[in-house]
Amino acid sequence: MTPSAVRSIIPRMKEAKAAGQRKPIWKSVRFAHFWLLLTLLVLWEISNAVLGISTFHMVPLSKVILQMYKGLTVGSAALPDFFQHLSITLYELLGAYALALTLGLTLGILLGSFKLLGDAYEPLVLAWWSVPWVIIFPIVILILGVGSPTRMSAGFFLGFSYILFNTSTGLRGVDRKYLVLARSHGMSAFATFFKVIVPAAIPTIVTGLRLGFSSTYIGVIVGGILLSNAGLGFVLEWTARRLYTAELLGTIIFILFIGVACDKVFRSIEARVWKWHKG
Amino acid sequence: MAQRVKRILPPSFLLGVSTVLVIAALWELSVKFFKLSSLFIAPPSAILQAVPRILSEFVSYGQYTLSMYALALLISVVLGSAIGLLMGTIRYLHDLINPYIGFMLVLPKVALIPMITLWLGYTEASIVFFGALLGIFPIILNITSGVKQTTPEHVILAKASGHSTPAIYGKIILPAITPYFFTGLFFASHAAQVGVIIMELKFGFKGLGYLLMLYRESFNEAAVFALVGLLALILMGLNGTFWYLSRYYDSWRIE
Repeated sequence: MTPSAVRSIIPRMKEAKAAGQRKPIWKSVRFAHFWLLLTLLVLWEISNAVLGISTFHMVPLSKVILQMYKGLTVGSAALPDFFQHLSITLYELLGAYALALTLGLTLGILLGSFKLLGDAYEPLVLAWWSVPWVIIFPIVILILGVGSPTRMSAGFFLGFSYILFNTSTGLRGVDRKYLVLARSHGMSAFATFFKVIVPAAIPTIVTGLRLGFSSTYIGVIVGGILLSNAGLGFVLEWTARRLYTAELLGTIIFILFIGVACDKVFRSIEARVWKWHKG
Repeated sequence: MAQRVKRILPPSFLLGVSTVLVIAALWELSVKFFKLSSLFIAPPSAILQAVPRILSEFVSYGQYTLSMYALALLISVVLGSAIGLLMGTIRYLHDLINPYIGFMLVLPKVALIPMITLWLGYTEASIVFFGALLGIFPIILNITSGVKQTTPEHVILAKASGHSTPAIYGKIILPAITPYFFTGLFFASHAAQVGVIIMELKFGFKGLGYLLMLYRESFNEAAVFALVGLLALILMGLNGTFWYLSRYYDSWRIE
């Protein structure tokens, strides 16, 4: 066989191999996902009529959407003033996150930059984090009262530790070779910090900011459930107590949606930072 | 001599301990000096005095909370390990349910509390269920990534030299996931505690969450602080042990 004949066979062999590897559509994972999701939705939809679950326990998605639409546009007796409570929760979330961000970054930079401070206080921070923060909630109610500051403090305590810990471990984890190189080039401490340490540590810090945000959100919602007099936590409690299950499910889906959407935004920022970090 | 003192008591340790002591002293003095009401805050000296008084109640109520937590952790470890092992070994299953696991991880699961109480009622079942719901995902995540770390070469080599499937699991896969398991256990233990305590504070009828509310409603501030302090110390010790184990087996990680 001449070399040119071999060369003409190779693409055809590749084609045949690719065709052999391509799975039929019903074996692909995408296909299975579609059917799994469809089955779950159908099961949800027929849960009352066919499976015999009472309407107090489960309401089909179509009815949830209908009832929520009615409650949000016309207003219904089964839903308290939703947008007002939503704005309270968002205000608490942003306030708590701003506080957690400021304090977490400041203290994290202090603990990460000075070896003595880091060695002294990092074990304390870790010990503090390993205790479930909810046990101090009754004490916080005593000190801050039964309003927004208490719910904000729950979010703050939860988010703050992640930001602090990730910032300080990120800064402490910078490779010593870079620091030695910077010093041998005569860089000032200030320049070393901003041009060497921060760029090296930024992915860890951004991960801390994302975890901190979702924890702050969880904290604000838990605060609302334990201390339910305003916010989305209150709407959850109010509808659950009166067995308005459609509105309850609608509010839960709303809360979950906000959480997942914010996580997506933070993840896309994180991916960009990683790309920049790797160059 | 000075070297030995410095080795046993490094300056960082002294700084940490002295900071805690200074905060306690400032707390004590500010309560005395500003005459803060004992309805809102108790000085450290009063808290220490309250510890022996609440000890017997703490033990009897604590048993209930501990059993709820242990059950929740047990369920999340057994179920989570099984799901994690299956997801790690069967590629198709992993691709099928991994998006849902990732989704459940970022979900603020606390929003489901009203639904759980609607389904399971104000009972022990909903306490354990919520604890296990929070605890199971760290275990699944860690076990799955642990199984995926076992390189196929090791398994192929073991198969080629005629080892049976149980031997492959016992000698290659289980040692490889041990460090991941303990890391997962640390996070799962923390999460299960959070879940159980939230539920007990929400509708406690027994347990430490209920006792905490009882002390608070009788304006027994020193007892509230003492209970929180005791519980915090115990949980810190428990989670610290898991943390230590995950560090101890760290050298078993396959790079």
